[in-house]
Formats: sequence, structure tokens, C-alpha cells
Amino acid sequence: MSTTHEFQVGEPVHINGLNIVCNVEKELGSGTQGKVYSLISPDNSPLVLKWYFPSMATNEQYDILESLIQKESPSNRFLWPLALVNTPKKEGFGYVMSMKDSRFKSFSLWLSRKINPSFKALLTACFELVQSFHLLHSKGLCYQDLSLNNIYFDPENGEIRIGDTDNIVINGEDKGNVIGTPKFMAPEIIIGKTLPNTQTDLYSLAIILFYILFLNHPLEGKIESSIKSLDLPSMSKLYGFEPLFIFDPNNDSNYPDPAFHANAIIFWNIYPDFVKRIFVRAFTNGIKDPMHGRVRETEWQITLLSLRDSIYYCKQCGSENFFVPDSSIFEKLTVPVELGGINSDFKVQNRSRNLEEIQSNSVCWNPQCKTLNTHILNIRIDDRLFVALNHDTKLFLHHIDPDHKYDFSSPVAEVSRHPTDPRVWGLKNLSAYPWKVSKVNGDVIEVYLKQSFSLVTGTQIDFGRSKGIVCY
Amino acid sequence: MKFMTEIIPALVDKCITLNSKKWLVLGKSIKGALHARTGYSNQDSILWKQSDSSNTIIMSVADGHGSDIHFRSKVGSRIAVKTAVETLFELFHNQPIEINNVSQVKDIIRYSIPRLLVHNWMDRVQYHVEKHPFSNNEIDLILKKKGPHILEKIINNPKIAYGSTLLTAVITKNYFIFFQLGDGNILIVDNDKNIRNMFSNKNNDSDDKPSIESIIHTESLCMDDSWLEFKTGIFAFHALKPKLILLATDGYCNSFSNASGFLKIGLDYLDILEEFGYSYLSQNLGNILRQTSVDGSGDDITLGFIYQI
Repeated sequence: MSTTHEFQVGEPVHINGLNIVCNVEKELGSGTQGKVYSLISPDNSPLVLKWYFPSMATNEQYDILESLIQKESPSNRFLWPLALVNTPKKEGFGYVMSMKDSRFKSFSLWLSRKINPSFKALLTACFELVQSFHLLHSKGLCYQDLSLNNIYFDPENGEIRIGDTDNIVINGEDKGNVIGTPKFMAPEIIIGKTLPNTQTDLYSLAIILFYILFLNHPLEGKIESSIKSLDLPSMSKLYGFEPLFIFDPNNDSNYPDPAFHANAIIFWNIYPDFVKRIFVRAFTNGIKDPMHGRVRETEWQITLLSLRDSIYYCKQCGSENFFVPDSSIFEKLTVPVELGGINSDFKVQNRSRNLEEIQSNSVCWNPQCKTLNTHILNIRIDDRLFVALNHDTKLFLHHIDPDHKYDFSSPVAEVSRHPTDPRVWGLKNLSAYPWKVSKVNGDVIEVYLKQSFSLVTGTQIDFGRSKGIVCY
Repeated sequence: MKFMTEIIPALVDKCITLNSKKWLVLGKSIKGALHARTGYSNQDSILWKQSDSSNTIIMSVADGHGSDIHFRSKVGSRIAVKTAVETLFELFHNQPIEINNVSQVKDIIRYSIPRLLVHNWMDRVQYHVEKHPFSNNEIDLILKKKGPHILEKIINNPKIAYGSTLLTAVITKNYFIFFQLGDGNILIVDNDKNIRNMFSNKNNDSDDKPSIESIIHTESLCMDDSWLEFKTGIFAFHALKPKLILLATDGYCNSFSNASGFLKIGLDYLDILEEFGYSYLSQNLGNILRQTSVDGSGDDITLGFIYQI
């Protein structure tokens, strides 16, 4: 027997906002807010209905949904409310949204190591997350209740979906009831100093990025493992009143406990220093100075993409590793302090690096391997960025056209094998524009669409809007 | 067939009222037919605690592995239920989950509480092994049956000897919370007599299916990073509308030839409660479980009820 706020299989659902009538296919799940049902729609578009429990179907929630539906989604990564649904036959109300495809998994599966995505997929997911929030904030909105349970990703390619969008509010608006979990909330919200806004979203975003890349919360170290009771006062202290980064360079009292936070230690030793620096900043300055100390979305985007472009495969075991170019090139690359560049205030990296330190970056992190990888093929573009050249590397407009940053819509080049000599690798032009390639012997050739040139160090490529050079 | 079983007296508690609903709590654990023959003790444990003042009921069952390697698993399971009940009662008794703070505690429940439970269990196990070091008998037995390599592993990591599963149900004024590590079952029978196996792997709309199902071992408190293997669920009253909640160790479901046969016990017990009453069940539960073990798996069986009158 159904109650007045539940649906039965086959029951019609009139969605006036979309001018369609669907039927309930089945209940997908229920939780603390309401129940979710899959719908059978007239045109077979995959839709779901979320219907609130009576206690959650408040006027405030209704207003939020109405406002979101009018605004439209910032991008197709959000599972955005499409239409409100209410009917005199049912108590309360609900809304419909697109169904999340089954290829998108919860990040909790990665946390529990039940899936094993590549670094490339993880970094793509992180980048898409940052990009999505940038778009959200550009519309004057803030997410408010960001946590790992609200985001999903395709472990194969890193594409993301962001759910639970029914809590998105206008930046800084007082909705009366601050929601969110202390683990992901900015300290200034926990201590009651401010309401959710785009600055607090930036903090939550940093927490999420750290969690994804290090499989550990950035504030959960020895202090957390010494807590015997998880009451709200102890949570408020850990995440709000006395937050301390586990890798704070000036205070190791919250360093990871190897018994419970081993992942943080392992991954901290894998990523290059420029990544560590930005996280140090996010959880030192970012805590002390909410208004000006937080890492911006553009900074995250640059760092994450640089890290993704630096991935190479160990010649011995095939593990993904991160390549940092030799010191002479590294010095030339413009890395502003605010992007994690070298700054004597930060004790993470010593400016003068000897050759062993540089070469140590090329030692495979896999404890069963530890092979020293030398002569890692890469392409340096305009001294602006570099990309490791692997068998599966593709270049996009983002790489070769400074006016098309973050454009990954379609590849403009890909690494390819010589058709008759598998030992020889080349770079194939996938764009409509010919490249001018200057070989090391002085010859200059033009490389048209679908044509390739051999990847030999010293070869220079004029892409039109930028220039590259192949290096080791 | 002659057999000996150890019956832990039915632990029957008084009715408790939560959010205008009356709940009765009952539990029983019996030594299985197989352990009776081999002389092993019952490796299962059950414990619960309730409070009218804070509208909280917490019930926990645990199944010690009982193998040569896990030679103190009875102690391990007892520590497990005690740890779970005490830790969670302290948390939810002092800090009720309300509608306006549930989003704040959801992630704590999912990610922090499992680690806290494991941490507290490990602390207590460590205390126990320090107070009661492995005896010469225990060491000789492992050496003889498993060899020096395994012995060394256990000596360096004594929690292995205490390995156990853990299933826990928390009922508060507005929410149900479930935790499960390892095998066993948490069944919900709702007001419409639908049965839900809370963390069944065959539940297709669950996101947390493991990629590989082991037929040999279960997740255990003694495993490294075991908190990552916990399954958790948080539900509002409206979402579940339970009439009967059962927690059972795997000796029960292993006594059935298929899953649907086992799931039916939810309705069977509900019928018994509704037709014959609580007192009848509390007097006969031991016999029912004992017979199930004899006819089925031979394993220890523990069953806990939380029944809404």
C-alpha cells in the first residue's frame, strides 16, 4: 500500500514544466531526504524523479528548486533540476533530472580501492570538477554541500557528474539552515563566522581534490587518530577551530599516522613538488586568510593539467609516473609564485637542486620496480608548458593555441607508430592546419593532415599559434 | 541425533519507545552443531543497549572466524560488539541526529565512524593481548598446524588471532544507521511485508559492489585498512518504515540452499511475533536456531531482533 508521498511502479507522473507524462519504472533508492525513482519517458530520455519526504518538502527547498530551474545548468556535468513536479494526489513535491549513466561511479569506490583508475583519469576528474565549479561560481551560485558523496566519475576517462544540485544557492544568500558536513566545510562556516559562499566552496573544493589525489583528508592525521569520540565538538575543533594541515611545513603535530593514514604518506612521495606546494598553500594560507589566501580555480586548473601532461609510463613496469624537466628548463619555465612557483617562504623545495635530485624524480615510484627512467621524450611548447610523449599522448588546442585554453574538444595531434618500423615513433597532425617542422639535419618540411613526422630530439615544430621542440 | 549445544540465555529487554513507536529488542546466540562436536566454543557474540531518554537503540552482532589462525576470535567478536555498542551509544546518545543536522553527520558516519570503530577495537585487542600474552599452548599449536612463517606473522600482528566480522544497527529518533563489515545479514521487513537485505551484493542499485566477490574469505576487523571495507547506510524513517529488523551471523543464511529461502525468515519471524507473541518467540528462539544449525550449516547462529509493536 502506498502512502501519500510514495509512488508505485507504473504510476503516471505529470511533468508540466516539460509538457510530458512519464511513468514510474522503479525505485532507485532512498535516503535522508527522499526517494528517487527512474522514469519511463515518452521519448525514452533517461529521467529520474526525486520526491522529498514530507519533513524535507519545505517552502525554502521549493524556492531553491524554482530558482535553479530558471537559471539552467552551468554545464552538462551537473545533474541539474529540469522541472518541478507536484500533484494534488501526493504530499509534498519533487523534481526531475537526467539520469546518471551507470558508467559513473562514486568516489567512495576509489577511496576503498574497489576500483583502480589511472592517474590520468583521476586528474581529468579533478580538472573537470574545478572547471565545473568555476562555471557555477561565474553564475553567482555556490554549491554549499560539497562532499565525496555528491560527485561521480567514469573511472575509464575521468568524466564527472555532480549530483545533489538541489542545495545550490545564490552566493552568500542566507537560507536559514547551513548545510554541509564538517569534513568538507570551510572553517569560517563551522565556527559561525560566515554563510556559504564561493570562497567557502573553494575550500571545500581543495579538500575534495586532496581526498581524491591522496586518499586521505588533509586535516586527518595524528590528531584525528587520537580522538576517541566523534562528537560534534571534537569535529568542530578538528575541522573548524583548530584545523592543521597534515603536511604543514612548520608544524608536524598532525602528521599522518602510518597506521591509519598511510595513503597520504605514500601519495605525498609520488607527486612532484609543484603539486605539494599548491596544497600546502591551500591548507595554510587558505585556512588563515579565507578571503585572499585560497587557491583560485584557474590556479588549480593550470596545476592539474600540468600534472596530467607530465605523466609518463615507466619503461620497466608500465606504472604511471610524473616527469619534471631538468633544472635548466625548469628555471626557464615561468612558474609564478602564486601558481606554486619557487618561493623561499615555503620550505617544501630548495631552489638549488643537484642532478641526483632531478634524476630522482625519474625513479619509478612503484616499490616493486624503482627503475631509473631517463630520456623521457617530451615536447616543450613556447616555454609555456611541456607534455610527456607516450604511446597514447594527444595534443589539443589547449596545448598549441594560447587563445583556446582548456579546449579539449578534439585532438589536433597524436603520437603514432611508424607503419613499417615499430621502433620509430612520430607525431601525427590531426588538424586542418599544416605544421612547419624543422628537422635536426636542417631540413624543413610541411606536415599536413594525417601526416606524421618522426619524434627526434631537437626537432622543432611551428604549429601556427605556437612553437614546440622535442626534447629528452 | 545427539548433540550438545551451548545456549546463551535469551537476553530479553524491556520495550522502548522511540518517536511514539514502541520497539522490542531480543537476541539469541547458539553454538552450532559442528562446534559442539569438535569442542569449539561459540565464536559469535551479540550485545545491545537502549535508552528512552535519548531515543537510541544500538544492536551489534559479530562472528569470530574460529579457524586455526584466528584462535582468539571468540574474544575478538566479544570485543567487537562491546566496542561498537559503547562507541556508537556514546556518540548518538549525546548527539542526536536531527533533520537539521543530518547532512553534517552523514560523512562522519560514512567515513570517520568505521575508522573509529576499528581503531577502538584494535586498542582493546592490544590491551587484551598485553594482559593475556599468547600461551605456550597457543604458540605450539600454530607452529604445528601452520608453520613458523604464519606464527611470525601473528606474533608481529596479534590482531589476526582475534579476527571477526561486525554488524551493527543504530536506531535513533528519526534515522536508521547500519554498519557491516564481513559476512552476515541485516534484514528489514517493512510495514508492507517487503523484505530488504540491507547490504546484499545482489542489490543492483547499490553503488558499492566489490569488483571481485570472494568465495573464500570475508572482510574482517583484523585486516589492514579494514575500515575501508565497511558498508554503511543511513535512512530516514520514511525511507524504510521497518516493522522488523534482524541482524544475523552467516551461520543462518548458510543453512539455506538459496538466498530467497533465507530471506523468507523475515516474514516467518514477523508471523510468529504477530500470531504467537513476543514471549513465545523468546522462549523458543533457541530451539529454532539450534534446529536450523543441525539441519543446515552446522555453524554457530546468532540472531538479533528489533521489532516495532
